[in-house]
Amino acid sequence: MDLSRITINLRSRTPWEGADLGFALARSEFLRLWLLWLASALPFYLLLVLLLASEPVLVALLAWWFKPLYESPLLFWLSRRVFGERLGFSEMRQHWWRIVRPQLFANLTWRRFSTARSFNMPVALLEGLKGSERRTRITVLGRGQHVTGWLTFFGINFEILLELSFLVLLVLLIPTELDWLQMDSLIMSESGVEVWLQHIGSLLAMSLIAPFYVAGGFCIYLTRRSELEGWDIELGFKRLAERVKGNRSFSSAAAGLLLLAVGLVLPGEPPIAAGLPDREAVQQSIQEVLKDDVFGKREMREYWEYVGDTEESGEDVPWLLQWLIDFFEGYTQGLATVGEFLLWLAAGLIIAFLLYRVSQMRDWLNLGTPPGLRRRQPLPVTLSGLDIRPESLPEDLVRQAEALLLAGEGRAALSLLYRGALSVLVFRFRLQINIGATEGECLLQVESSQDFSGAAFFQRLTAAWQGMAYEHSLPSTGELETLCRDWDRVFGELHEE
Amino acid sequence: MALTEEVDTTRQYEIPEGVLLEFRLAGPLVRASAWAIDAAIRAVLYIVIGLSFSYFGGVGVAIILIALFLIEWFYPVLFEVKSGATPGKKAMGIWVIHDNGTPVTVSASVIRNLLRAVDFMPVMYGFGLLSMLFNREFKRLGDLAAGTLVVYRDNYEKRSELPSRTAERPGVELTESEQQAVLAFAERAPGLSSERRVELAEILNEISGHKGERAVDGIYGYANWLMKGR
Repeated sequence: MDLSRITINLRSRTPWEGADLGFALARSEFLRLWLLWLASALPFYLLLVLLLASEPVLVALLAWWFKPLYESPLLFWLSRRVFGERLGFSEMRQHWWRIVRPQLFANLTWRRFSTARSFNMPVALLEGLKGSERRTRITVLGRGQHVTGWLTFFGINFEILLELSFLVLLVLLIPTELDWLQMDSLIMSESGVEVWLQHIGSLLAMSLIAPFYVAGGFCIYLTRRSELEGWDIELGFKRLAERVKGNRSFSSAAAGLLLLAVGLVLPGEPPIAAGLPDREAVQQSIQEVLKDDVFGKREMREYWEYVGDTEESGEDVPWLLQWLIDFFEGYTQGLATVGEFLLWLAAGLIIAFLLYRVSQMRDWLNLGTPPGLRRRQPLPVTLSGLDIRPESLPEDLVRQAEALLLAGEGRAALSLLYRGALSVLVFRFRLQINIGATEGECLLQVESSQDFSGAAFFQRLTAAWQGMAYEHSLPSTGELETLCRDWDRVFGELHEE
Repeated sequence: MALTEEVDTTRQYEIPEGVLLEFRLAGPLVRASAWAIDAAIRAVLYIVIGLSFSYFGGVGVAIILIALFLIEWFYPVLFEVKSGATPGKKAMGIWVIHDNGTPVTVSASVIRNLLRAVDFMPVMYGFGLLSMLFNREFKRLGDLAAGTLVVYRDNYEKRSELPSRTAERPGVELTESEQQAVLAFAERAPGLSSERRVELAEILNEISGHKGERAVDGIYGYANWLMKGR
């Protein structure tokens, strides 16, 4: 094994990346691997079909079971390919039996159940180990390599889904009117063209996945060995030693020729025969290159920039002045604090006062009482400062008013009439008049009321009352008498009912 | 016939500043595993939603269907935009990025996840699998359309302690890859068998001029010098 000829990039990898490397390798050599797989599998498959024409399921099963038979040539070919050699088809045919034969029986019987088949195969085929040696080797190599099991698991799934994809795609692409193929018969049928399509599907699926499966397992194996044995280190050291040796012994051209002659040309990295240049010379040339205008120029610009407060106070100021400054500074600061406190206090007081006023005006504003509750409110006993409780009024109100009028007490009479009207409205007609309502609001309520029809009279009465109460213009005695009569007409009848 | 091209699963992208970024592409196997984990999470979600809303009659069915739609189409988008990886991808240590290495955006994530419908054809991601197997960057069709890559997430490895020796300057100037080889030796050699350790160290006989365990110690010295000697 000559590591210098290896054609995979040796670096530390996880097992998952090892499998990916195998997939990349299989992709780059897919056609050769595919043909190689078919070269073993196709004749075998055809033979099975001939022998067991009536048992398509058994054919597929057997072809699947004998997979290790077609996989070992792929592995052998890959093992050479990794070291830069592509074996020709004729070479492979010559050695076919020698490659396939070792441990074939075990591979096809109990080892067929192993989920790490692709990973274990190189141990037997390439290292040629048998029996307990092989077992211990696999135990050491296989430590922590559960990815090989997942490779097998997903390999099976990939195969199944590819075969189904092939069949479904066929059905989808044939127009339904033609009715050549049915999905259920295609998968279940045991005779006719459907069976052949099944065979083609399974062969295609197996052949597509096989190169990836074998290469994946093989590259997990290579990754593991490289990790355990430090292949990447060995390769790196050999290249280094080679370079040093080349430096010391030969001129660059001669070294290149010699290396070519012994077949040791390192992939991708020609030997650096000229050696590394002197550090100072490099620095100098860097400076020369950087002098070019391309790499920019120097320019001076001046501008002002705010750099924050500078703390200079106390430097040149005499201590007394400083003390005074501090004192007054403190004083003014204290004053400001007091002022701020006073302002807050004033604000608080104003708010408290306003709240107090609001609470005083609660009744008038009718705050906080939803409409439903407002109905159950106790009936008002006073309106506009007038006592309107029925018991505070005389029985024969109109007579009393007329008596007062005769006695020259026009004010008292009008007051009595107005009070009486409100009392009747509130307590008999159940008019919704709020406590604290003005005369005008009472009038509005009366006018909007539907039960009470004497709104016109009430308006006259209110006008007379307002005129007396606020303008001190007492209506004439005649007008008052009319009001008394009308009151009796409007409310008196009701009173009797 | 000698082949010289090295097979690897990395992809390099040179940013305008001249820095070469290297991504380690994630292949079909690890992505299938991540998908399986996500599928299991979604299945549990569907069962929970289905059981809890099936008691609500027609409205319940409507809610179940809407939830199914949203989860099926936007479960990956939500997580990819939020943190670059669905829970399954996170568990597998992979995530989604743009071709140029930037974090995946909403539009790219929506495109790559809407095109799952195409990748899914004819059954169970048939086209998507073929595309991933035969694309150089393991891209499925959605990734091709959206310009995204699924790569391994670089996790910060704890630097292993080097065997302590007197720092010694190597006799020759080392290139970057050679320095890396020396450091890798110092980190991993204590885990190798002593024969293999010596065998590796003696390759550099030309430089160190030592044999046996002294050669190993010599390289440990170089590693110490490379780490902290300057």
